[in-house]
Parts: sequence; C-alpha cells; structure tokens
Amino acid sequence: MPEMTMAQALNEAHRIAMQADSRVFAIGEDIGDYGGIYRVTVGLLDEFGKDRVRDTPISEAAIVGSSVGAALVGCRPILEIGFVDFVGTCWDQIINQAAKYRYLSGGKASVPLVMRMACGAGLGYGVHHSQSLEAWFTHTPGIKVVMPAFPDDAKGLLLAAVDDDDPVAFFEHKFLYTYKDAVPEGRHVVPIGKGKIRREGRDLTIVCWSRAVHWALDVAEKAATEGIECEVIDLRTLVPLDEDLIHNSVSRTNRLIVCHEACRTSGFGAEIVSRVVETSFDFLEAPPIRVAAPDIPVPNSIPLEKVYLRPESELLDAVHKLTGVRFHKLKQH
Amino acid sequence: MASNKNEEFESGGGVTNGLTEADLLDMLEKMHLLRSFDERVSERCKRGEISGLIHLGMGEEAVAVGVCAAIKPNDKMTSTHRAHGHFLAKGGDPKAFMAELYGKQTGCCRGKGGSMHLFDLDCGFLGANGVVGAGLPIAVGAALGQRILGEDFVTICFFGDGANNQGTFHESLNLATVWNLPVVFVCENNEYGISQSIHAQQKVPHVSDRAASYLLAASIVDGNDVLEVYTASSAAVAAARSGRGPTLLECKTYRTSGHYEGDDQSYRPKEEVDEWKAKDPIRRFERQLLQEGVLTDGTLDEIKARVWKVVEEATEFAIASQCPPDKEATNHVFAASQ
Amino acid sequence: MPKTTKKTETANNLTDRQLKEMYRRMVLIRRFEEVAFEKALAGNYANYHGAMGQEAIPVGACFDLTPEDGTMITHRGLGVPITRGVTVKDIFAGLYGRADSPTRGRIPVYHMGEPKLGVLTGTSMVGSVIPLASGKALANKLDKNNNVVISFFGDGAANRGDFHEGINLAGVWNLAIVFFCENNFYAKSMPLEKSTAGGSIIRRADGYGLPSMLVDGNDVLAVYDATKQAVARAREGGGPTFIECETYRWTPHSTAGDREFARTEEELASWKAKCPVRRLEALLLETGQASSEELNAFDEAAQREIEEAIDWVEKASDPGPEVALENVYV
Repeated sequence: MPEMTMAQALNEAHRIAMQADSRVFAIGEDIGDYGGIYRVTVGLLDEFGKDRVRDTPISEAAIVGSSVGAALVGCRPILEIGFVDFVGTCWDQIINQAAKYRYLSGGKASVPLVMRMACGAGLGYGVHHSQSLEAWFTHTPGIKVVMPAFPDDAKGLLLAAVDDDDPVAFFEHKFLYTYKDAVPEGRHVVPIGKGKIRREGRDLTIVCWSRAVHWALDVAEKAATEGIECEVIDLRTLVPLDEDLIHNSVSRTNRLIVCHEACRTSGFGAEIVSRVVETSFDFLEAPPIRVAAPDIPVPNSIPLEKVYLRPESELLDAVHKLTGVRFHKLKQH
Repeated sequence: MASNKNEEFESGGGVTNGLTEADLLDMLEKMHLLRSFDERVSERCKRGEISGLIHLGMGEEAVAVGVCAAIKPNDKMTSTHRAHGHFLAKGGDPKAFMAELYGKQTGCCRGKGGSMHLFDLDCGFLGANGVVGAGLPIAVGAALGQRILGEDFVTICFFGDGANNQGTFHESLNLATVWNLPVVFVCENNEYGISQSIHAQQKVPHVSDRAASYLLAASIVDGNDVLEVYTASSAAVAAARSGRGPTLLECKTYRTSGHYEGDDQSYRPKEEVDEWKAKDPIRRFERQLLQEGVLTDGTLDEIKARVWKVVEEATEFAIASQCPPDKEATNHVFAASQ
Repeated sequence: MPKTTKKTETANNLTDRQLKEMYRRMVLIRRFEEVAFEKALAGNYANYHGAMGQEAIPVGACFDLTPEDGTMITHRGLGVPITRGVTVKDIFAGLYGRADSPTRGRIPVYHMGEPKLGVLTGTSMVGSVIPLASGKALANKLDKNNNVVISFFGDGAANRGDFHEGINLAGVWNLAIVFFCENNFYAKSMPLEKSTAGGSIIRRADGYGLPSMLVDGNDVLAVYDATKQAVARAREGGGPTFIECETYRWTPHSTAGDREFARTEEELASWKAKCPVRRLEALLLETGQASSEELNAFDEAAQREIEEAIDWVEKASDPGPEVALENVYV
C-alpha cells in the first residue's frame, strides 16, 4: 500500500471524486494555480480546468453562499476555507443557509456541500489561525461534522463527504497535513458516522479525534509499559456520533477519558461525557475526565502556546488519575 | 470573456414589446393574483388564522410580474423575506403557498418554512430568505452551477434596497462579474429598510450607482411600470443567456403595505403612502390596456373573478388541510429521513 | 533642478529636517523588514508577512498624525507602528513572543496595537479591520473630538463584505476617517485582475459617495500630500476620503513556505527600480538637502538599532505559562 501525507491523500480524493462526477468542483482562495495553502489541491487546475477549480477573491460569504446555490441546483462543491478561524465572515451562509435548506423546504432542497476547513494550533500562528471550532458546527442541526486523524481516513471520509447529500464540515488539522501513512489505492471510502478503535484495551476508554488521537496513541504506549491498557477510539465523525461504539467500549472498560484540542467549556467532549453519563452511567466506575485546552485564545509565543496545548501533556496524568480511582458503586447489577 | 461595460439598456416602450394581447392580459391577471393574495393574507393575519412574521408586497406587483414574464419556467430565482409575489409570479402553486402560510402539511415546505422560507424546486424557486442579503451569494451559486453543469438557465436574484448595504451584495456582484455568470440582480428599491429611508443608509442616491465600480451593466427602471420592467428584464436575461454576464436592474417602487403585518408604519407619513397608492401599478396597467383596447371592462371582470376563485380555493384548501404530525418536526434535518 | 539651501521649505512645506526624518524612518523600516523576514525564515517565529518595498506608505501617511489619531493596520508589515514610535525592540519582542513584549508574549504587535501612540489593535482577518476602524472613528465622533482614523488595508480586502459595510457606514455618518488601500496587486497568489471586477479599487469609492485619490505609493511625498489633504478634510468635518496607493511587495506573501509563481522576475525588477527609499534618497541628494554621509549615517544607525534589538531579544526570556491564562476576561 502506498504511503502518502494527509495532504496528498486529500488531493487524491479530490481527483477521484472529480474524475467520477462532473458535478463536483473545488472552490476557494489560492486553490488553483497555487495548489492551495496546504498543497491539497495541487495539480487539479491542470487536470480539471478553471471552471471546476476556482480561485476566488477574499470573499468567504460569497464562497460559501455560492457553493450553497450551486449545490441547490445539483452541483457537489468542495470548498476550502484556509483557517476555520475565518468562519465568522461566512457564518450566516453556513448555519442559516446550508444547514437549514433541507428542513425549511420540507425535504425538497438538498445542499450536498463539503466545507473543508483547517484547524488547530501548534505552529505558532496565534489567535486567528489556530482555533478548533468544531463544537460550533456540532451545535447546528443539519450539518455533519467529520475530523480525520490519519491520511487513509482523510481520503476515505472526503470521498464519503462528497457523496453525502448533506452539508459536511470537514476539519483538517494543519499539523497533520504532512503526517505520512499508508493509504489504500483507488476509491477507498470510509463511512461517515462510524468511529474506529485504534487500540484495544481493557482498563479505560479514551475517546478522541483529529490530532488528539495521536496524543492518545502515544500515551497508550507509555501507559502500557506501566501495565495500563487503554482503548483508544478515533471518532472520525462527530455528527452523527457513533454512540454504540462508545457505549460498547465503556461497558467493557468502565472508565472514560475524552480528549480534544479545542477549549474545554462547551467543547464537544462535554456532549460525549453527557451522553455516556445518560446512557452508560451504570457501567462507570469513576467520573469521566475531559482533557482539553484551557478556555483561552491561542497565544502566539511558542511556550505560551504549549499552555494551550496542555491536553497533550495532561493526558497521561488523566490516565493515572482515572485508574487510581476506586468508585463505590451504589447499587449492584 | 464578454466585456462588462456599464451599459444603459433601453427600457420603456409601447404596449406590445413583442408581447401578444394574451400575454398582456396574463400579466395583468398575475398582478391581480398577487394583490388579491396579499389582501387575503392580510385579512387572515388579522383574524389570527395566519401567524408568524408576514411581509406583504402590495404596490410592488409590477416588478415580480414584469421580471417573471421575461424568463422561462426552468430559470431559477432567489428571493427575500418579502417573497409571496415572487413565488406566485414564478409559478409556485397557490394552494401549496397558502397551505404553507397556514402551517399545514400540504404546504410547499410541509409547514416548516413559512412565509419567509418558501421554496419550490419544481418551479426553480430557490428560496425566500429570512436573512437580508443572504440570497445574493446563493443566486451567484446557482448561476455558477449552471456553468459547471452545462445546463441552460439564468438566475434571477431579487433583493431590496436594504440588502445593498450588506457585505454579501458586494461580494456577490464582484464574484458574478469576475466570473461572468448568468445572473440578473433585481433590486426592488422601495426606499425603505423597515423604517429607515435609503438615504439614511447610504450616501449615493441609487443602488445602481454602485454597479460602475464593478463595471457591471446596470439600469434604473420604473418598477411600477410592468412593461418597462419586462423590457429591461428581457434585455438583461438575454444578455445572461448569451454569455454576456450579469446585470443589475434597479426597479424603483414602493410598498403600500407595512413592512410586516402589524407594522404601525409610524416612520412614514400617510400622505406619502396615499400618493403612491394613487400610482398603483395595477390601475396604471389597466388604464393603459383599456386605452389600447386590449382590455375591456368585461375582460377585467373575468380576470377578477378567476383570481378570486383561485384565492378562495387556495384558502379553503389551506384551512381544510391537516397540520403536520409531530414527527414532521424532526424530519428532514438530514437526508436520511426519520 | 536648482540647489536649495538647507533652510528652504519644499513644495510640500516640509523642511530639510522633516525630509531627512522621513528618510530615517523609511530606512529603519527597510532594515527591519530585511531582518524580520530573515529571522522568520530561520525559525525564530512562525510566520512573517513582509512589506519590503512598501515603506513610503507608512511614513508618508503617518508623518503628520498626532498620537490621538488612530491607525488600524493589517497582517502585513510593521512600518506603521515603527513610524509612530513603537521601538523595533518591542516589535521583535512581540514577534519572538518574549516575556518583555508589550503583550508579554501573547501576540505580536500588529494585533496588539499601542494605544498611547495611536496604533489601534488590528486583526488577521483580511478586511475585518475596516468596520473596526469605522467604529473607532464613530467613537471619536461621539466624543466630539477631531481625531482622525486611518484604516489601512490591501487590495485583497477590497472584495470582502466588511469593506463594503465599513466604508458605507463611515460615509453615511460622515466619520473622520481615511480609507487607505495599499494596492500591491496580489492577494497572496491571486492577482487583482482575476479577483476584482472592474479591475479598479478606487472606482469603488464612487459607490459610497466618497472623494478619492490614486497615488504613487512608492513616492513618499505624494503619499504624504494625499494623506495630509484627506486628514485635513476629515478633521474639518468633511467626512471620509478613499486613497489608493499603488505599490509592490518585494518578498513573497509570507515566510511560511510561500512560493512565488504568479509574479515574474521582470515584474519584481521593474518595481525594485522604483524603490521608495532610493527615490527619496535621490531627491535629497539632488536638491542638496542631505549629504550622502548623513543618509549613510541614518542607515548605519538603523542597522545598529536593529542589531541591538536582536541581541537583546535572542537572549530575552520567554514568558511563564501562567501568562497564557491571563486577560481572557477583565
């Protein structure tokens, strides 16, 4: 199986989708001649021409809005917003237009749109180029939310997102664009709404997504040397959430950590913990722990950015804390 | 790429303009249909049968009808919160329209959209919109879709004078012009954004004053002269269809109804409203057609009777229809229905 | 051109001393830009959006401003803060994220601003500064002072909705503001003719009913004159003016792996031939208002100032982790 970076895997997915269906087109800033600021759309302009690979002015509201309009009449656009931090400039078109058309039309309208957005800190880019804002989208009924952690999933989920008849918010962590791994050739599709157990374990479940999956796998390795076996679930999709996968795991391990890079308050981890408490309370031997960034904007200075990226270093502590806790069950099954 | 010169289209003209007598009478009937529905909806709002925020367009009928007479059934359209006239003139089903306002299962959006979110893909109506200015980029997108799909349609984008100060106006006109897209931007300039006069919202006197900065073709049209609207629209639609790109038509008009049903209209003098009522576009067209001998009193009575019947049947249909069941509320959030 | 004595004022009513001060600032910005770019490429900080070649604009535009006048800047270049008195030491401290930077390492100076010097807090979002600048001008109006705001932005911003809304509002409310477009013809890789319908930014001013001026952005005296007129109009209650300055950046969009491909060597060379620093130097030497020794001395002083700043910043300490958690709320 060939190895490639996440950017290359996404590029391949574009190519496959656009070759298969002439209704698919790419739109965004600097995606054509330039090949995209993360090199995801390299070569597409040469192959598909400027009608289907469209460079735009700096006009996010028009980029998203025109993608909605094109989708309404039968196209399947893939738009790129270079930094999720910019969504404020086109938020109406996302939450009020793309997300609501199917519903407000009583099912007649369809907006099969993929919104690719780069998220995440770790490169010292500061307040407006580093955020993780997936929770804003998960709170908007009508939008699916996808966050691959590995190149094979990036390719597979992007192909699935293009095929999906709903608008999909597709988040790519900018730190992972250069991450290299094996990627199946050809039309490799990963279903939206299905998580994956990346590592099996009996002692606790770590639910995570995007870059946090890599943190969790590193921590699981370390914990294993201490005799603690962590089960790592890579959610891959946040909406719709693979609740069964989480429930099955927690029912076996009885302990839960949710880890994400985004800020703690109202991060998607809060939703997962709530659901697990609602549906799997009897299986829990300890209170779940959320490991997330503090509630701060992302500072510019590298050592300060590390404070924001605390989840990476706090995860192992959380594993220790969780496995050191004895929880008195109030009732027996 | 077609050059985007700031051309003044010729508008106005005689009674015929390439239209047959039947066409002219059809346009008159449509204007009556729009007005009668507005009056019926207003009355039913007052009775409490129709609820929610309702924005009527009495006095603006010539714009919707004149534009729609110039397009084909498969042409697309985006609209505003003041959408009833656009929807009906575009060919939206009056029964489904009324049922939607009544919030019934048989409404065009199964009761989930309502007045500000009417939608009908079958007649190319890509949506009313509750957000001012939101339809502009969507219209640009529909036109972009036409290009990508290689299909044959133009897109009409209705918006009001209030929307022209929204950022989406700027981004959309710029993008449509840069990409030479087949969209006709139609501004219904009724000189008010709710209570605010347009002159308090921008320094330039006309919306079309902005077109020159994009080298976008534009013209000002008497929006209360349905034939002038038709002629200008025809030219703009022809330009779009033949690959000459977008146009901005600024139709000067006036809404004699309030901004919404329940509006006390304290922001404008009653004399101003009465002055515009005296320039009613429907009466004006009737006089013109009577003078030309196209219309007789008898024909006019027939038109009114047919319109009344349509309105009556739509109202009865709406009242008799069922409300949507509870499960409809959670349906159509995503493609996989529940 | 006849030689003038050192005490004679120029056609701009600028004295020799003022012109030399302009030169001093321009050469300081130039040297700063060179080093800021190089230090970013060397990995000392993440990214730098250089403005080498655009030095005439901050110096010409800001020369006559008082500290109460506000300037709103973008992500590109730090010529405005430098012109207005922010030290290169503070700027490097911000770029390097040091404990002793004005924000204690949280953000670089183009976001932070320096209120005491009239440098307003900016944003990375292209075009979003414009309504912010109008807001500052509105605050001035409510305060009934006659301070002026200059809102700087690039050609890329001219297609954003915020450009439209921010400028329209300033026009309607007759705010004391100058909208200042630094048109360097490229928004990252996107050339103006592909992104901007009509191919002209200045023509858009007509759509807001504003007076406008198209200026050679590499001629510091032309920039100075135009801004002076616009600021005077604003201060006297005449409302906003739109200035477009044509210029060019010598460096790629940023240091973060950006490639040049849309722009050609020939184009760059033609703009380098119009170097704003060299043009002012030539004027000063031709008219005898400065000697080459004086000008060299300015250059050397600039280089020394920057070297000292770099020496300091490379040894300066990083902030402690607790700084990251401060100032989220009051």
